[in-house]
Amino acid sequence: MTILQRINPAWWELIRVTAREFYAYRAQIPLSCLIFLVQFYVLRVVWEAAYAGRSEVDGISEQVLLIYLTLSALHRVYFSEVIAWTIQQRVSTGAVAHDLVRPFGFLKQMMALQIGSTISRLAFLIILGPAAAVVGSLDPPAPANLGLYLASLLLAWIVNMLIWMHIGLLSFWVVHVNGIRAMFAVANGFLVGALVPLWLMPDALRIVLQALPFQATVFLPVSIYTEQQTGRDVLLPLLQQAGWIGLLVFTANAVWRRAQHKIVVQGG
Amino acid sequence: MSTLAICWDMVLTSAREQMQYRSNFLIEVAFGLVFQTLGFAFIWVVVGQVSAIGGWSLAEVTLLYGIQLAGGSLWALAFSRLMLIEGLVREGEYDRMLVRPLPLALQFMFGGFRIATLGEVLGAVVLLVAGVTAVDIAWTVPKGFYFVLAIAGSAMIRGAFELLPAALTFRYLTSSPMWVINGIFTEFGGYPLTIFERRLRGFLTFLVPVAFIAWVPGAVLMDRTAELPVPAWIAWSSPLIGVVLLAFAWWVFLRESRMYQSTGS
Repeated sequence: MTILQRINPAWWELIRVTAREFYAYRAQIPLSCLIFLVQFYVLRVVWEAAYAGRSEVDGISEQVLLIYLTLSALHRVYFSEVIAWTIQQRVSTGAVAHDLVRPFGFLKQMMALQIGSTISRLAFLIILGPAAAVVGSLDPPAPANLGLYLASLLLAWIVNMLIWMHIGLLSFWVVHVNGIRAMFAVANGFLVGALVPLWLMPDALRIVLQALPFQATVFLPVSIYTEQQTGRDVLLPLLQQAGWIGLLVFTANAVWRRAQHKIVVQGG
Repeated sequence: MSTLAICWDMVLTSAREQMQYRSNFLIEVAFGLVFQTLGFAFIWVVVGQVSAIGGWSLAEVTLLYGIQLAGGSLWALAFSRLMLIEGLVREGEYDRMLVRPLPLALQFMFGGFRIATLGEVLGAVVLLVAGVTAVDIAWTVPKGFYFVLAIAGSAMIRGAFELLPAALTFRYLTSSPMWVINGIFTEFGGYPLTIFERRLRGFLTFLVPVAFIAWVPGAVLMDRTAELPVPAWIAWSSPLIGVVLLAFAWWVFLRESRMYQSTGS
């Protein structure tokens, strides 16, 4: 029996269902791509205007910044908040009651949805990748950094899922978690460092953001890619990410244990 | 009951409904504030690094952003129900609006008052005050009037370009074009368009008049009309452009609404 066969088949089923659901609303896809490119274009132009012929700002060259912004924008496409949205939806409609009686843990179901949502979007990397590289810039990193970046990317994906899982779990206590979720979704671009890399932020803001887990999803992996660390420092971001994962898994479990006692199924 | 009283009651009812979940209400107002000011936080950090973009200082861009926000939030405050048009049409809710003895425009204006918009208005006021105090403007009486009217004009242009794509919902049952255009206005609106390349600037001035949202009014206030792609008299008449566009858009909206097919249930 291979390892793959030993995994609970519910994982595959849920991942497949999420992907099919995503493509059921495929008319939205070109539109989302378009909005993504417009937003990214504005970001690039504003930064270009800010550089205005200067070769460097705070030791960061325009080329490095452009690669940073391009890759960060792509990160954000794949790091969805679907897990928070779904948990909130299941709790507020009472559907969570069905989820709980399934022979597959609730959080696992939600994680499968998150995986499915990322996988289903992978296909349009074929369009978005080159498009982003044209609007922005995307040079390959040094081979050594590529491996580290991919490892960091995986950790970043997990941190992102855990953050949104926490926000979703709030819905067991707060009836309308929508506002909080939307607020985080909007603030996210800023908090993760996708709009302004942490190197270029004012000190006070940088110190605050460094103490939060958000930067582990975009800033840390992308700064590995753009080779801003050298020597042994390259491993630091990975350690930070691993630390955040440990902490967030611990708190998620603690929150989930309490959440199970808070379930209110509205309308029976 | 007078029409005015009915409208006021509609606002109160939606406000009371939203106040039921008090903490959620506070969060939503905070959301409005965060949502609208975060775009500015980005400009503040970027322009703060280098002191100016496209020849406009941080204080000047603050004023532009404030005008853009004020116009956008004023429109959102007045017509927030329009954002829900997709649901209204798809689920047949629009039926109920048609049989009510109140003009449609008023129902769109007062029927779904979103209290959270107040957060956006608050953000706009803060930025406007900050911008006006930081920028050295040679105030005259006409400029004072223009300032107020230009914000109203900005709201009306935003409105016109929300009503036009929203009208398509009656035909195509999707309001996504509205969101795309809305996105274009919020993404580009708060910047001096000098930072964009010439063709895009032309598009944003003559086809989708984003320029008139903040850049043109700001240039008038700061006596910088020479750098605009339009003559000064057009810049001064930007509030009028708003009135004309909004009237046209409303006419189109009503015409298109004849395409509405009820859900039949």
